[in-house]
Amino acid sequence: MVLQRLARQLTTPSGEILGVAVFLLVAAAAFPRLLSPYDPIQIQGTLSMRAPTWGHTLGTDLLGKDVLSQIIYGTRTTLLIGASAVLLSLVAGTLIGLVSGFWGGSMLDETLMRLIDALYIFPDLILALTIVAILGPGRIESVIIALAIGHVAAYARLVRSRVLALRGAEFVAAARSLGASANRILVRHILPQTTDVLVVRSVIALSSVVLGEAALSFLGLGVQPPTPSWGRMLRDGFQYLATAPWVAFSPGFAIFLTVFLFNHVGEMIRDVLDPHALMARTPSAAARRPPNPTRPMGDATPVPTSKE
Amino acid sequence: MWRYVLRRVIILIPTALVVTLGIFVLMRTAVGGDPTLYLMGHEATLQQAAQARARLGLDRPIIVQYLDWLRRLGSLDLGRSFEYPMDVRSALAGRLPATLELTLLATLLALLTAIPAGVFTAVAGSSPLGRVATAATMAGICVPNFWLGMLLIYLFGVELGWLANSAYVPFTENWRQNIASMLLPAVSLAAYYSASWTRYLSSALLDVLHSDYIRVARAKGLMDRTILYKHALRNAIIPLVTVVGQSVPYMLAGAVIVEVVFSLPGIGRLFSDGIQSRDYPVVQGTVLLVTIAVVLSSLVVDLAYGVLDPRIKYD
Repeated sequence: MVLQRLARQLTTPSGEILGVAVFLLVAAAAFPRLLSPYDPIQIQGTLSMRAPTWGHTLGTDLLGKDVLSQIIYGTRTTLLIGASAVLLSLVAGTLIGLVSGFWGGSMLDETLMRLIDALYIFPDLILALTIVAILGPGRIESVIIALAIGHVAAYARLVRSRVLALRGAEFVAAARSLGASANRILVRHILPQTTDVLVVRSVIALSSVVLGEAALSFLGLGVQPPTPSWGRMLRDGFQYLATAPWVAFSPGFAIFLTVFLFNHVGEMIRDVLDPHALMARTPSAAARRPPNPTRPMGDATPVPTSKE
Repeated sequence: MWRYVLRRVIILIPTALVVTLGIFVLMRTAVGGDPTLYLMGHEATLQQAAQARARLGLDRPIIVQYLDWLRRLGSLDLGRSFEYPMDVRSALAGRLPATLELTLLATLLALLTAIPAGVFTAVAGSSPLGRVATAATMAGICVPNFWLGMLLIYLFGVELGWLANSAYVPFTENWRQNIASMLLPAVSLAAYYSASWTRYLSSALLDVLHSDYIRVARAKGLMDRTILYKHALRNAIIPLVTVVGQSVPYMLAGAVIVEVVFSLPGIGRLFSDGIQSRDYPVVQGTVLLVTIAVVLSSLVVDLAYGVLDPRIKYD
């Protein structure tokens, strides 16, 4: 049923555009060599800061490196960090939420929730910057962990609230009466009931992580050269904004499009999983839906829906 | 109500203790977390590094360092910066005005645009203009504020040449130049919030417009304008108050990067520099400040809620 709704969504004009955009993004990350016209780290002093031409569609930077090739290779960095951070926070947050919710009201639940509260108190960027400082700036693992920790609290609260609502359900009582262990009830019966909110949350969290990675790299604390990174390109391009604006414009636009894409995909999946939302697809109805429960790093608004 | 306020302020103490202890321990036990590496460079001998650690008090057990920090906190002494020749309290106090002004201006700008835009989006519905407004809010939510800042600098600084004399000066010295220098950073910071709050308000307004009391007001023959502004908007704004209040700490976080882009001497830039140079006292002091800001802004939101909605009572 869900798959049918998803297929129907993908056949609409906006669904087709989103599908193609996601395909291109994944293809660029998986096979950058096939799509990239040049080696992204090849320095060519004679081509320094060339404006966009047919040969170099998005121009070159100070070292003569092709901007388009760096953006294509940067997709891999962005998606690798994004997917890893989201996966890490998903696993950690879900585990905490499951345990905390199932034993809700216990000392364990109280302790875990106070820790989650302490994490939740910080705006994502401040938390990410602090964790990067703790783990050591400039390392890709530090960036992944820093961005992941910022999302653990949201996942934990989301799963906990769902588990609290489900733990008294009849199917859980039935499983318990049949002698199922707590682990089995959690993993086989309760966890599957949380997948819908987790999928939507994860896709939207990707957009927040993309922004976060770009922000950290822009501040010089994220991915270091020669690994191509959109945030790093922005940082470099900013230095010669007056003479070669294309170096900063293109990676910024790539970040914008990617965030836009993940937000839309997240909303589409939410519509697919929530038939009530699917029934109303006019812009006014879209406006009635609460905004994405995302907190884009650096310019993030907390959203009450994610704080339940 | 005062008992409620007191209870919330008291909660701040254990929260701040947990947060600062966590940061304190983690920063000092982290791999590569030794600030002497940064301060003295990798050429420093082991003996020189040990001397520097002793001078900074970093050779003592962590818990002793933390208790010492807490003891001095009692007299509002946040320690001395490793990087700058000044104490952290002075450094934070010197940088606070720029950050507060930036946050305040951005909040004002976002509210001034979000309220009319939210009303318009709710009323315009699926008309062509309504679709444009919806698309614009979506774009506002997705645009990175540091990139938007660069675009603004390029447009107004490089293309139009309007930023020739836009270096930051304090408000008390020259308010005209101060506002001129803060306008673009505030726009960069406000863009996301303006778009996000527009969606909130629009969503809340549509919900209110479909409620029973609005139907009754219509049945009584009230004008649409009166219903919208006098009855619907007043109720729809209440959830926005929560969002605006909760956004303040996030705006402070956003200010980190905006201050770097626009070279503003604010707390965000101090924090970013402190992280890069492992200036523990500065990081610790900023984190404490953010913690207090988060807890207090949440308290203000709760109290404002009680004022706006008389049904809410605090025991």
